[in-house]
Amino acid sequence: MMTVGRVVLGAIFVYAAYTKLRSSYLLFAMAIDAYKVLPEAAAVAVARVLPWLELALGLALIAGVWLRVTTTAATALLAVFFTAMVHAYQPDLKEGQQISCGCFGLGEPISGWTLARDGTLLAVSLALTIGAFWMARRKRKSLISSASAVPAGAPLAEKS
Amino acid sequence: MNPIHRILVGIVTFGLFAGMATSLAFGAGQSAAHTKPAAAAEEGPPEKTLGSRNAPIVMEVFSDYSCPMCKSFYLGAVRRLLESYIPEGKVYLIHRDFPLRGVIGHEHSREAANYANAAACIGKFREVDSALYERQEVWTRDGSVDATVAAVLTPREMKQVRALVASGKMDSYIESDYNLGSSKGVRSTPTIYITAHGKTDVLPGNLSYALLKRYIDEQLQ
Repeated sequence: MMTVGRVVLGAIFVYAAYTKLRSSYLLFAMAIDAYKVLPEAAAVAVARVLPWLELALGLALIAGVWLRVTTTAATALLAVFFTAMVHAYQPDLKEGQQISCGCFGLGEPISGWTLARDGTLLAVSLALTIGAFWMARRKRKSLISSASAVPAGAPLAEKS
Repeated sequence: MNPIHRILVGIVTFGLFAGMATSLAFGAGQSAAHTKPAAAAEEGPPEKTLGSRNAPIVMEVFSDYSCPMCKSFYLGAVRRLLESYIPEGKVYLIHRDFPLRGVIGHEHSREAANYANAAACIGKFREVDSALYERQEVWTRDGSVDATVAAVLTPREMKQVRALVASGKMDSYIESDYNLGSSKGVRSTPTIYITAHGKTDVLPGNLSYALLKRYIDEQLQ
């Protein structure tokens, strides 16, 4: 279950990066700027870096390396996206009047659907983070218990 | 990583790259297709365009005259494009009507689009387009679309515009723009398609002119 979750989340991150990297970074900078939470220069800097970060994070999640770090980073990133979207969403406006989400390229306005989708991704990522820490803890405990079962002075190589 | 894990990662990575390649090929097809309907729709009677057809950059803007972001885009970006890039033949701007339906405050959107199309039929699109955005707060509130347009046209021109609006033909032009937008996936206004070097990109509505300028300059290189 954990493996399926992180591969799916990783694939989504890779796809999100791909939709941004196939066009000029300035298009993504415009999408960030539309949120009006960052100065223009910062929006440009984020637009240059973020897609590569998403790509690296996605590939690391798929490969299953540094799980505690990658899942925590993914959760933090999704929490930032979700907060920005909630901040920009104006429930009294119709979908046609909302700004572009910028999640997977441009042209998709923020809506109840995009909020639900990103909220779900955030929940999945959070569950994966908890799972990664729990698994690491369990592994450490089992190592300690198996180490204590080995007679004192026995070489570690003989444990398995 | 054990061998099974490696194989799984390999399969997933291959699948992702295959998906990307397919999407890229499909995307390129879409880009080419985007330019064709634009050219076809230009053959219709109203010329709601600004600039030279031969410009290397084509901007197609799906807009609603009642939408505040469309007004911001017009006043903040189009006006400035009209000072340099459009007269210099670098940008060709096509206006498309996309009056949002069932939105409070947009009750006169279609009427305004009717007048803009009628003005385009007599070669006065730029004047009426500008007046409708400039006085948006007034006519969206009190419905004075006719008076707004009359303020920038001569009585003779206004008579022609009113006759064209009354003919009901303008509705079919608006519907044609709306259907084109829907077929392209337009869901909000303004939606801006920018075509350069045979590739079409979608721009967000409330963009800053500084970033748009950088993007246009990048495309012109």
